[in-house]
Amino acid sequence: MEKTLELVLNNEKAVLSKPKEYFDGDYDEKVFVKAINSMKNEFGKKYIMEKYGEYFKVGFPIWKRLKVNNIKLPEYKYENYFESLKKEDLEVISKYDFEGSHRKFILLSDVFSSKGGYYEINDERTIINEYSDEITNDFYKVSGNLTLIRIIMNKNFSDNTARFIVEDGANLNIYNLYLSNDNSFGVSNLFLWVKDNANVKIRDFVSGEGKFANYLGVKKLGKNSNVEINPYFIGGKSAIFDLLYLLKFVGRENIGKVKAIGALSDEAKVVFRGILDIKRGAKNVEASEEERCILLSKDSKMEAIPSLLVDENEIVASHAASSAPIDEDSIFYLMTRGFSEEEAKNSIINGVFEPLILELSKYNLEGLVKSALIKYSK
Amino acid sequence: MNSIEFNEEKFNYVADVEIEYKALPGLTKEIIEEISEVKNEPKWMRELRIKSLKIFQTWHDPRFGVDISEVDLNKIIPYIKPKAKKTTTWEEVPDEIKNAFDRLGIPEAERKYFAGVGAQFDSEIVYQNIKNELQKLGIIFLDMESAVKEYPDLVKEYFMKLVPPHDHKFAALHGAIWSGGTFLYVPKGVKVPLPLQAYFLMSNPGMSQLEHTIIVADEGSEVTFIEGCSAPRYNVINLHTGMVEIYVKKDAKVKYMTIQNWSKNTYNLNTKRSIVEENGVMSWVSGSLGSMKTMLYPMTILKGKGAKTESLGITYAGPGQHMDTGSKVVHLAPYTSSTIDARSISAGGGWAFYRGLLRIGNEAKKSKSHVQCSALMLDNNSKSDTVPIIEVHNSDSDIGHEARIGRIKDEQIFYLMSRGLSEVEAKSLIVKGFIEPIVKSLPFEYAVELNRLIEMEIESSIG
Repeated sequence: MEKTLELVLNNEKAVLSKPKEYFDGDYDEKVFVKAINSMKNEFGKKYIMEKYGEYFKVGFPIWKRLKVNNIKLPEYKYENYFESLKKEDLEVISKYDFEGSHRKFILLSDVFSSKGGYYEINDERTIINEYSDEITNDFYKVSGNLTLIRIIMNKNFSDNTARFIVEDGANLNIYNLYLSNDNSFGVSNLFLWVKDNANVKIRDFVSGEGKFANYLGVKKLGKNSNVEINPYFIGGKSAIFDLLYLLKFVGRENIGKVKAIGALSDEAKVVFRGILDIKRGAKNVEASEEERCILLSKDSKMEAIPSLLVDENEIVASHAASSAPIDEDSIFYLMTRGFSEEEAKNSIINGVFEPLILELSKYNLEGLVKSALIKYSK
Repeated sequence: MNSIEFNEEKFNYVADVEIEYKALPGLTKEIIEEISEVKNEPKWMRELRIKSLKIFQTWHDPRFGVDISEVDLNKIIPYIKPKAKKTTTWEEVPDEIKNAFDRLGIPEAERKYFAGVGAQFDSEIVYQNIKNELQKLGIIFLDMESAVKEYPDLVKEYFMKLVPPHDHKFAALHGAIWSGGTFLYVPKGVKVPLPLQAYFLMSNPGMSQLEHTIIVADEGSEVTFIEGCSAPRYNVINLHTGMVEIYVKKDAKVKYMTIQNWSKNTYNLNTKRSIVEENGVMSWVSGSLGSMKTMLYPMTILKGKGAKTESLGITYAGPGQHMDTGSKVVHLAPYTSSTIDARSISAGGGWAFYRGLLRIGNEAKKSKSHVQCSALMLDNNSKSDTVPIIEVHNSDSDIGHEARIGRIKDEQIFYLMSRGLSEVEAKSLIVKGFIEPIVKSLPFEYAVELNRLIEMEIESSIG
């Protein structure tokens, strides 16, 4: 299983803090027994039984920064996605597991997911998946060129897990569009295992008013691959976005970049966690992460924990984080050109999201970003 | 490199000093009461010790940082009093102790560079002196035990008020068995022209040193304080759990410098904290080179409008060392500013971990902060990590953070070797360039010492 943090040097280990857990509000064993009895797929049954063995021992995390200590699970639908899978598919899936933002949510979607898909992409394809308030589980094995658009709407509770194997020379382009309502809580966990000479581009757009924990992990096993991640966020009211991006470098000559930018209004808060973990032997790696946050209201907040964990010295690794109000000189310049102060501010914020708007316009999805900008950038 | 051999010997010197009192290993109410009895302490201090012990017994180990599972506090000796009376005259210090400090150049340094010096041997200060003309200005520079007795109200006002015993497990331990340290009070408007210095030696195997330092810089005063520490190496664990509390009043300036060179069998779990009032300035300069494992994050609370802090630190993690160091700054008032420049070097299998916290509170409008972390990995057996936490809770502040980890490039070494330097000398020269901003801010004597220590560490790590 891919752990998120491993702080070890030879025989020496660092102490890692773990969140407290609670067990209230979970699906009870009767639900599980009924679910498993309703399944016909014996291989799926076996897989889920194994996962449940771990599931019931792990509690839900108490996340202080996200202010989450009470999760309301949706009523279980008795529609298990694993029902549709073949033995070979399950054998592949079982080889790829990860810890995610918290193990409980990975196991929740392994045991109780009602939707999902197993995809093997050998050609050029565009897939659009839309989920709303569901527990989902997807697996993608990409050998060709895939553009994947995930639109996830959180109204109450969502838990979306996806695993990706990016084979030699594959091209993967992902757009994750996360939208949330007030008082909702969503969790998304994605992990990518990337092999030789692959190209991966990921654009995350996180917006709305709810609480959202996003985890995106990439393990670069091969060499000469390139991973570029651009998270954008905009939110208002009492939104809290806890965004974790992990790039784990194992192979040589890889490039990995995370560049996040966003704006917050009202009492919204972002927690940005970027982890660049460079293992011994991952020579000639170029790794960087950068986060910029524009706080639009006096009560909006930014928290950043950008981590560099380095076991190899033949590398270049850097991180940067900044928080500042909108640059006064830029506002002044635009006002000398005839803009009002509000128009000037809006124009600057729109400019931040412009690259994403342009890319999404190819799929007629730019409206999602534009409407969020109208709502939250005042 | 003769100077390197000389230095190694001087830091590893074992002084054969007679012991007047040695507490039994472990932590019980009886042992703590006995220590308090030996020190002839007032009731409030004895009560603080007992209260701290109770808190300690309920606290868990830190849930981050270095692994301290090998530290068995039941085997640690909490208090050793050397057979030496406290004195203000160097000649009265017993020969063996004098010899140990002489090797470190302590009395010589006092004459040349310092306004006053305190010297702690094991658990007690054995020598404390300040120049007469400064004493006349009302400066109080005393060992902590004497200050507790001579200025009880003043000490009580500040003792463990900034770091209370319930702050964390080792703060509670410190409250229970602290011993030695310095109390410094600088009156209003007094600007101390030369630095004051404290030096700490641990000479016995399996012992703990828990000195307590309080600095109060009253309104408009200025002072620089330097602390140094070392110990000979033993095969059993020694524990250093000191505490420093610094109160910087309105318009005052305090500079606190540390060169930490504990032996490589020492767990250094230290707490340093300062609180800065309106327009006050707190500067930290730290060189962390010694110890087997260190957890140290000097903290500054910017409480008053316009208060400032700057922190310059270098951490060296050589073979077998796990150094978890960093800094914490909390901005509570408007127009406050902070600058943190943290540098680390890891070599020969050492592990340097930077852990920081920068918190900009809701009221700290128009605050500015810049945090910079740079790490140099000299080889592939070592590890270098940085994990800063940045919390910005108002929209009107300007915050920047940068970090970079890298190595010495082959071209740099090749160039210097083509100019006649050996590989070790070339690496040493580049490392010296890397730590130059820290070295430059130290007094000359300490700058030379830090450079020598770094040379010595590089020699043992990669030579």
